[in-house]
Amino acid sequence: MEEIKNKYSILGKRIPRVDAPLKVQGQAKYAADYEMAGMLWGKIKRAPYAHAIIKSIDTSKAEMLPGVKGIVTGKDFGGFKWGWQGYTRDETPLAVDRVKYMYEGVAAVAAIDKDIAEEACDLIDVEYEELPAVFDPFEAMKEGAPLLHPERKTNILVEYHWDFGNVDKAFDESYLVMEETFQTPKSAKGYLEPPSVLAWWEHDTLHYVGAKGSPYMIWRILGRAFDLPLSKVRVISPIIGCDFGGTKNDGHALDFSACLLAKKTGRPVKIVYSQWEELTTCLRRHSMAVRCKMGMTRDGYLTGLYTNCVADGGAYARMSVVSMYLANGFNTVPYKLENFRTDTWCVYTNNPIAAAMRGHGRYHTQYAMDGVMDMMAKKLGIDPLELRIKNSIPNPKPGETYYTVNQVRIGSCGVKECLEKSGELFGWDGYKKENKVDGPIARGAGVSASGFLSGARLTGHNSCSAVVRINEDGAVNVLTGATDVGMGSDTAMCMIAAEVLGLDMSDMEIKRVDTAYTYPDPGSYGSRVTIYAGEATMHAAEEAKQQILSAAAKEMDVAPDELDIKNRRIFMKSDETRFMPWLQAVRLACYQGNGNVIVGKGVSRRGVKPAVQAFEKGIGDTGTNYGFAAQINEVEVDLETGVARCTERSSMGDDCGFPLNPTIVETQGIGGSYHQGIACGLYEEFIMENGNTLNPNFVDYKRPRVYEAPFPKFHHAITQDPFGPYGVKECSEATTSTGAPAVISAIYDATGVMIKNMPATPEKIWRALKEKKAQENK
Amino acid sequence: MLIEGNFTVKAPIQKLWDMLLEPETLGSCLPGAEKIEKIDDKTYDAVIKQKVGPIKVKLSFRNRLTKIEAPTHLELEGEGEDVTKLGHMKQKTAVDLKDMGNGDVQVSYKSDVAIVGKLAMFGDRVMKSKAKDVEKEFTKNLQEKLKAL
Repeated sequence: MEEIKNKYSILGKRIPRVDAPLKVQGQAKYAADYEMAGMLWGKIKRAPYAHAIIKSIDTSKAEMLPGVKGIVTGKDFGGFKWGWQGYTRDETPLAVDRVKYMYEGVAAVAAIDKDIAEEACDLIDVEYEELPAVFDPFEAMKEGAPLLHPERKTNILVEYHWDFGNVDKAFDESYLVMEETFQTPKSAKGYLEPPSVLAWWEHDTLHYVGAKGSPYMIWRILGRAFDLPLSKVRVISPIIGCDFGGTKNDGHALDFSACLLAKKTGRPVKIVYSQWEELTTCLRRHSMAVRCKMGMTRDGYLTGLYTNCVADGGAYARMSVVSMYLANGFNTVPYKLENFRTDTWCVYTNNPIAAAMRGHGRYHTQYAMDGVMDMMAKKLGIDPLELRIKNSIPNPKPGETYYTVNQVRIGSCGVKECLEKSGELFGWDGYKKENKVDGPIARGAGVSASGFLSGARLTGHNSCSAVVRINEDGAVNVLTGATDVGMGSDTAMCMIAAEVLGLDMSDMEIKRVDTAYTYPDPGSYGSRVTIYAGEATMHAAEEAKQQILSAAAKEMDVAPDELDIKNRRIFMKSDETRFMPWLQAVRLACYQGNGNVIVGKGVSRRGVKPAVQAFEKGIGDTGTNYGFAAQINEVEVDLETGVARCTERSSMGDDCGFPLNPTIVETQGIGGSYHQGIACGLYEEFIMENGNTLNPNFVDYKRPRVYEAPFPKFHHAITQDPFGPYGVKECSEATTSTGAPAVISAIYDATGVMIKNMPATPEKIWRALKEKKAQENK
Repeated sequence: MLIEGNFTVKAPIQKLWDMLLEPETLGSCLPGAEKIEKIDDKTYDAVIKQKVGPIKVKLSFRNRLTKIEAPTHLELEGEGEDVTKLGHMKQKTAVDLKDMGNGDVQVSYKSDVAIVGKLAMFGDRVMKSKAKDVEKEFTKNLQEKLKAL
């Protein structure tokens, strides 16, 4: 560890984030902060039915309202549909002839202020014919269920059936086989800013400033929507207030409507969703029923695993094809497993649309697997931590690779270290001996471990580029197509460039994405940014460095490879007393001959070859490498009221290969995923009734408050992955996946009841305890 | 249309009451007020310019105080119209002042407003939002005026 830490001047150090001063001083500009002269405000007219035919739309009264400048309906988009891939293009910007979920957009208005736009929406008369609707995915799968997309003949959006090894034989030969069903809820992303857009047309070019974590996704979608060459679509990325997948990757009614209204009115149009709109109509985490069957030997070694997953995809496909792959693609990590089978479906319903969220897909099956694992550990009388450690995939030796049964390639795996160190930090061994019941309060601890891909290699464009420009005053601009949505990647890119160029962080400046100037990049999803943009930035900085070294070498009359840069000095490797100051070398490089522009370009091509069989057969390697994590959480449960809360006693181990900035990794692991994880375990769920979200605000939709969100102890497992730049891998998706299961397991430890439909609300725990007591009294 | 709201002002209740009944105070604090003239102890004439959405109006109307319970409660009724005939307006308002005991006075108002003409094309939402804007500016101006005294 010390050796790696000392290898670099900048990397591995706890350097403040480059965006921190702007954010803490309130100077960071988010999408909703942008305004323009002559700007109009847009608003979406929404349908009050979950499933209905649109018979007519009359906008005449709204058009008469003073201050209204333009109105568009679904038909104005000329039949344009979009989706993640060609075969999932099932959605229009605004509903055209049928609404498929409650409050789907049917029209949009641009007016001189927000109130008039909203008033005009009320004046639009829409005649509907209500249709039978279906809200339960199991009901939606049945023959005769109302069809959401009649052209598809079924509501099944996607299904996978994979089979590896011989699961039936494994179960037959197992000492213990257990099968249980677990249910996850629909949940919110909970980012810190509203979905917002400001769009205008200038010189026949569509300009778009919006809260998008993957600006090049919307760039392509808008190009197709408005039939424009991509050179005529300019997407400018402001500071993004988090993402967590989904809404800020993909397009929404506000994006398309603002662009079309701007075109129609000839004025800039801004639309900002209210919290109600965001929580009723934007993308949410799938709810999923996971039936999990697991086999073990007498001494607790895993023999086989079967999962049967049914997810509610909501009204449109979005990323569900990927979500369902990810739900099962990594069930073969982090434990050694030779026999695995799954049957998985995602189903259209008349609920709001489901999509990616941190710990994408994996989070559901992780919960079920950990639940069954703990119940089996109890039956076998084996310590749950010990059971996990003994099943862990070992860290491959340098130069060796571990392949799972479904051909996931693992170059490094620190899960065993994460489990062991989490146990040490928690004080696991002594914990069992402690008295854990005090009056009505019972304490318990639960453990979970997981693995998740980094550098997602899905279909489509996956390469990533970066530019490093050195200005004549020695200051450096870093440009990538990647977007920091709050995870700290801008800081990581600047650290990488500073490390390569031998400079200080104060010399670095990174610009936000502007598709007119930056290079295309798929976006911020699949834990891919640091892997790909990091490698591209490294190469770009190296190329720029060579240009500086060449200029200095000429002046110093040596070969460029005899030189290096450190602390703003270009020096001879063989004799560090011979050096040239950085600024002198830059000026030489810039002004030599007719003058040069010092620009280095770098590309990462690690993601360009997708695992083509992955989705259909479950075979292959959809990540560049894989991060691992473990955590142990303690909860206190009030046996009289059912109220559970996390205590200060918890620990995490995270294997992100090499933490480029340990502080950022810890904030992602703790403030990000630990808190998000325990929130899923104890608090968060959308309450639904006939497609209507009954708690669309952050008062009724419970999230942990500060006093409910403690800070666990943290261990960095440094495994130096061979496939990531500087050995890095993802952080925070594996840790997100482990948060909720560890909480649920802790409740199981404290009370003996396994909550199989999280979140573990007081009512659910209280009822489960009552039922347990009734069973015991029989 | 019912428009209601409340705001808090830091001032002794009696002082605030006296100020609110002074035409000069109202004229300088109410945004868009061009003229506020006291006709007698209970009657005021006012001319106020406002912009509602894209429509500019200049409302000339007369208000009469119908109930006065110093320093906590008053009621008034008024009627007026836009000088270019864009709309006609009638209103009945009740205002309550409550001493919060910490140096703050909470002012609550409830107006029943009836509008006809072009202004009536805007629904409750637009008018209430406009009233909220006026309230905010009035409160700010009033507080500054109190500080200056």
